[in-house]
Amino acid sequence: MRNVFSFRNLALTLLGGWLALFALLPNALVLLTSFLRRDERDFVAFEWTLESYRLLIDPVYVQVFVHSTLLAVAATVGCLLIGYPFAFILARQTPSRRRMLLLLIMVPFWTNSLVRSYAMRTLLAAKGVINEVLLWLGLIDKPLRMLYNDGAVVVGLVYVLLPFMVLPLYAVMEKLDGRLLEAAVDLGASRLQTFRRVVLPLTLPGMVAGALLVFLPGLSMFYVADLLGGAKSMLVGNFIKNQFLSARNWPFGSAASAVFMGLMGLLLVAQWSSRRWLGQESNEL
Amino acid sequence: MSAPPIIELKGVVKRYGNKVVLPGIDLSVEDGEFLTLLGPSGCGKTTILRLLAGFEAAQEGEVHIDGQRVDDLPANKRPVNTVFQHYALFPHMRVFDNVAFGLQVKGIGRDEVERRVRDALEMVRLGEYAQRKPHQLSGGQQQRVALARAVVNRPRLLLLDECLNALDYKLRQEMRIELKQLQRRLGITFLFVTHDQEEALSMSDRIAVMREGRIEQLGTPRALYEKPVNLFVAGFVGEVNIFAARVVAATADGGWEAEIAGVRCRIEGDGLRAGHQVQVLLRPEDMRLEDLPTGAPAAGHLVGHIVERIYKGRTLDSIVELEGGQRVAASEFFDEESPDFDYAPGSRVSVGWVPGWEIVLADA
Repeated sequence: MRNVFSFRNLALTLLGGWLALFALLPNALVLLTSFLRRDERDFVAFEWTLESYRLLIDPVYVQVFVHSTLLAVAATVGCLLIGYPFAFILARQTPSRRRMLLLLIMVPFWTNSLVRSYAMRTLLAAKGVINEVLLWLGLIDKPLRMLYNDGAVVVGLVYVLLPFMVLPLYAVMEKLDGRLLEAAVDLGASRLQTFRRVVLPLTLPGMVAGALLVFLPGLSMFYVADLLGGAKSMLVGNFIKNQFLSARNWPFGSAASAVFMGLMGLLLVAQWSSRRWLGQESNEL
Repeated sequence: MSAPPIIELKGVVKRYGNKVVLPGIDLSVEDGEFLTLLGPSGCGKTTILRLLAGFEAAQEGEVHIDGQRVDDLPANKRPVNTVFQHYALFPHMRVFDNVAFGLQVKGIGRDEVERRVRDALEMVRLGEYAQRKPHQLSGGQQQRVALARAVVNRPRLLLLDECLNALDYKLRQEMRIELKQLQRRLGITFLFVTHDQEEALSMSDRIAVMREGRIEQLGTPRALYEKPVNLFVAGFVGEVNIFAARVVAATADGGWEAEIAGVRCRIEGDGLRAGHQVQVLLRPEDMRLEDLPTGAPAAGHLVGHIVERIYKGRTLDSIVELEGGQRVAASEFFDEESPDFDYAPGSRVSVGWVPGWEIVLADA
């Protein structure tokens, strides 16, 4: 007997509807807007044009993209450098200690990242915690300038985004078969060779997934740049926000968003093919 | 003994926390030998393998491989390779790269790696599968890749950890023969770990039967089967019927008269004395049954009735319940004289055995 109003159908409809209404539709609107002309009164005029995309390749804006990309790459590398060893150690703990360490990662994750960015400000500010401690210890004479530069933005991004790196890495490392490491050593591999030839390739999908989850928000978390970077450090996110809220150039902001989405798509394909390369789409053993 | 042993364990003690796995083991393995560690799970046989591979360190005693003390030698420096229970093939590498791994990490030149990997894959008849990923192979093929990956390094010693368990029955039988042939051809010492007595008997030059971290008996398959030193070995290596017996007196021809379930029988054994309580062990295939509808059995024979008969093709296996209630297994071959002998359940039989084939153990 078929029941159209079964829980399964209801859940799927709700989910599909939600996604269509709050994900698909807005993004479709953004894509549509990116091909329209700017209008002083109504924000957009219904007139097809590629003007916004042409404007995007202007060196001034390209520079914003490049700069933001560099910051996001730095944040991704930072997260990887901290997250990889952390996840590696985490996966080798007893279950109870593992839960505790995971909790330590998750607790800040539950706090709004805006609040955490403010917290980072109080740490890094001229009269902030770090400077006060260093002054008190006599290690420095005058406060270090740690806020309002690219470094502060990268630190802020790493801080806010670290869980997104640790969790996928932890997932692959937990699955990493210790017997494979024993097999490598048995065959004469040193620690370094074992790491490079076995551990690294097998954890690559986790690295790619983590890098994706850090890199993309790393481009777009405008409030981190607003709070920690001052006027000079601009992310793609700041740029898009400014186009919508300050410059009132909706098509231009939309075009930037569309390019951003395209980039995301590319990275997802990259991740998918890295998994495929490892043959992990099949259920082995 | 001319050549020095390839493996020597001297008083090796291994504990995990408070749990003593090996209470002090001595073992010496000859170069070129196929030696099997046989025992139930948890008897410490895999621990010995891991000590030799270098994955575990002993708390006391010495481990020597090829005349060298290796207790402080890391696993990657030992002239030893392992075939793991679940093969542990690298899933991200092709078969070729899996086999080449050990040579590449040693920095051997490309051409030689290429040649030796090809040879190794030919040897296990997987030459055409070099470009496949492990998950594209069957269990038997994966097993052979694991074997090739280990022997391509030309180790002095190959450790095999229950590596046939994951295969189905037929394949396991084939691999047994293949392993044995490979070992003969390569001349590498094989140390094989299993809990399957059939596997151990069919491949090994010598078998060490282990229980609770100790070697109960070390000997050729034949010695173990025909002359087990205790009930554990007798029961673990093959099936066995056990009769409690009391030695009554010496016979004129050097044997002994003993009483089993009230019946006077003749047994042979060393170091017996009148009045001894002993165990008489008999393999099912050494038992002889005889239809006995009525009357008394011949001298030295017991009487029982058939409770179960199992047709096995080559043999007819019967379970006989003796008059005292003890059950005995007998396994008889069909031969040309009686190609269709059979017993009806419940029929009365006399139970004897081939004289002199009994194993007599003093009561523990």
